[in-house]
Amino acid sequence: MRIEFIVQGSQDIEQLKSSVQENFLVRLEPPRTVFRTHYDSFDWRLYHKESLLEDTRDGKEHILVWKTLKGENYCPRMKLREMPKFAWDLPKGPFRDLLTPVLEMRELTPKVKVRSRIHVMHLLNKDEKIVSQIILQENNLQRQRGARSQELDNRTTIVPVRGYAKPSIEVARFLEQHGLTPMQDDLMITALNLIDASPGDYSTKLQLTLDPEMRADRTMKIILRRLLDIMLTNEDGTRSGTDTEFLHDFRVAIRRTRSALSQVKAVFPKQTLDRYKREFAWLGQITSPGRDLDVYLLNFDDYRNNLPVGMQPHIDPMRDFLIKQQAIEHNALVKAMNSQRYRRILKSWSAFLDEPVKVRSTLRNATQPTISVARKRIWRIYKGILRDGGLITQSTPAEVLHDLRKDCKKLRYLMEFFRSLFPEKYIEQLTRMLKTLQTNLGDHQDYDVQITSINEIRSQMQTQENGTGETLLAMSMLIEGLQAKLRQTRSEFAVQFNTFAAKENRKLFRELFASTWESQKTLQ
Amino acid sequence: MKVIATYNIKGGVGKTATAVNLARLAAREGAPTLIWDLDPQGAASYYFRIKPKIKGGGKKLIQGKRNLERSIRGTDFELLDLLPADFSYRNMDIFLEGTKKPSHQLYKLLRQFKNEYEYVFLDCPPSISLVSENIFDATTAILVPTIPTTLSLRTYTQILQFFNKHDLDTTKLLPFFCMTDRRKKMHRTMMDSPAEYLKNLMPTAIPYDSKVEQMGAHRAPLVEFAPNARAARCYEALWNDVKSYTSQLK
Ligand SMILES: Nc1ncnc2c1ncn2[C@@H]1O[C@H](COP(=O)(O)OP(=O)(O)OP(=O)(O)O)[C@@H](O)[C@H]1O
Ligand SMILES: [Mg+2]
Repeated sequence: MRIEFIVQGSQDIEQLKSSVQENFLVRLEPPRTVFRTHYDSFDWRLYHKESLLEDTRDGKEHILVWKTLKGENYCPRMKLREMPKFAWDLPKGPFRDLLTPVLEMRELTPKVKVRSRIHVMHLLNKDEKIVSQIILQENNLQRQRGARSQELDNRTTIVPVRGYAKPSIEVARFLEQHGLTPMQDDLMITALNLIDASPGDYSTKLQLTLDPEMRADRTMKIILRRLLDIMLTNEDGTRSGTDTEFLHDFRVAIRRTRSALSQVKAVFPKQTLDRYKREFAWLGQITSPGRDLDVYLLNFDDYRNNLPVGMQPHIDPMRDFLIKQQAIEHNALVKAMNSQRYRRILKSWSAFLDEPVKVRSTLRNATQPTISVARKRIWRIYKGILRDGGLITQSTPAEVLHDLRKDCKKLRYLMEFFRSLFPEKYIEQLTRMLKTLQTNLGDHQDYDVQITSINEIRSQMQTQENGTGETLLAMSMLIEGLQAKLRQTRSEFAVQFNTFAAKENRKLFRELFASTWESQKTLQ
Repeated sequence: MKVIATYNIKGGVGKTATAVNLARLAAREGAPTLIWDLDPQGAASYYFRIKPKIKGGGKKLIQGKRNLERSIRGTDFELLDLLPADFSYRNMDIFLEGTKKPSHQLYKLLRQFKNEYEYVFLDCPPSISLVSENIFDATTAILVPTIPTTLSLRTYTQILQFFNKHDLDTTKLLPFFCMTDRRKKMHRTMMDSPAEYLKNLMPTAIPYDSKVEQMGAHRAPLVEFAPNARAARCYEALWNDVKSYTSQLK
């Protein structure tokens, strides 16, 4: 429980202080200045859980409070000397255990900064025990993100001491009688609004509402523009390279772009198409080695924990090796991103997307309604998946499964691009089915790739005399573990595929994508 | 969550003083900490100016019929909470007998706080009974304040015997010397060549210091009102000993 009030501009803090003192037994702390910062991940993971992390720098200490936006009873708290960057920087303990699954691998970034002059009053009972805290705050928004420093609401917060609710309620009543207005919004949210930041505004979802009758080439430009925007949003983070997920999201946008270019055929002129297919393939290439290393490093603890305890320390040289490689790859990526080629692509691509489409086009799909192009394409890929997947047996080579995985990804992207054209309930249901199959195929591919790469890393380390016999042995054990997992996922494929290809799903796919526009309306 | 008991079958050896000061130090370092005053006398509650009373009595609380959480009180110190004593705790054995797995009950009750507190201190009353078996079961470590005298060491061997008889893990037992006075010959002898059975003897001893007695008048931990007192500094060193020992345990 926390009770907060706005102190109106006309009300004087000193006067308020003395009237509290006249009516309650309080001990006053000398006023001091603290610096409060709202932290969240770039993609607002805490906000999406209706919470925020507030760091109060008070002298040399950082008090970290993980508040809920609803103002619930118990908020995890922590006192630290230094502000952590990642969940794993926190000391072991309950706070870290709670934060880790929410924040995962993302970095904490400052969202808004407030300077508060605070006057703390401790309310005492007859044993002179503190039973409530009244904190008067004079708040200022610090200069940041182009916003100038400015005054924020002054507030009074009552922080009840656990197990002593009554005295806090009495103070709250008193303050209300003195004309203070109770306030629901957290100060940090108010501050965010002042600097024009909108919490929760980042998503890799397309979030587009498309017009089914719009010509396909225009629609594709809208979709591709959105993908370019996602890329640009993640550019800075990708360059800095501390938080791995910027590169990840950056790459996903590139992959989706490539998929859109190759899957939605005959909407853009061949020459343009060929150029950007080539350029985006290059972007895919330059971002690939870095991401692979990120994945190995993110998985490393799992790798390590799956080895017998005695072997665990021996694998650590592999981590050092990976970190070194990662630095090399990151530098190469930054260099590529600073190249003229890179700048030129993004600039001309952006110009192309913003340029209005020509009224007339000889291309087969360019002026067709989006809905019919979308359905045709989705239906085709889907039928291919059904056919190819149905032929897979235990003895089919792994490459066939990899191809199937690629097709599933194409299907998934198409369904995401055009999801707003179809009834949400059904498209969601089919996406869920597809996702499960993709997880199986994705795991299969990941294990396969990891086995190959770790083998390569192993021989690289061997030739560079970077690993002792024990390290190389530990790596072989790691590879064996992955091989077992690979076999496991492979053996689960049939069941996953049959669920995906079940009769009801086939029927739904057909109704959504194969039959005419009219029949689809009956679904709604 | 690490549960640390201060325990001895002997009374007046410094169990409460140790629990109160170490708990304060843990919280001061930033770890959310709870101290449970299990002694019906309520000395720890008194030091924190908290009424030694559980609404509805201790029986319901121990038998899990009343929410433990509702009885927790915040102390004057950030991150440090206290679960007060209650006079009815003198019947603790009977309360525990009334539960399904009597020797497991405290552990069961404490488990609900595993995400909330990093340290839980149990300030125990001086007796060997079911309560003590519960303590052994629920704790990560048991601190045993021991005065360096023949009689006190004899008490320690009795605790060891009890442990062995009940097949309990003796690595949990962390004895340390307290109320030591190097002017006394017996203290010096016992401390300079500690008995072999004091296996995990903590390196730090808490000297006799009249400042400790003033905790009653100040109603606050020693490390708070006299941080530079000799005993206060030793509590800090002892806390470091305990942390490094418990961090080795799984
Ligand atoms: N190091 C010390 N130097 C001087 N006095 C001390 C010291 N430690 C504790 N005392 C005092 O000795 C008395 C008993 O200490 P304390 O209450 O901590 O022991 P206890 O083992 O918890 O007692 P009980 O068995 O009654 O619960 C108290 O008055 C306390 O202030
Ligand atoms: Mg005591």
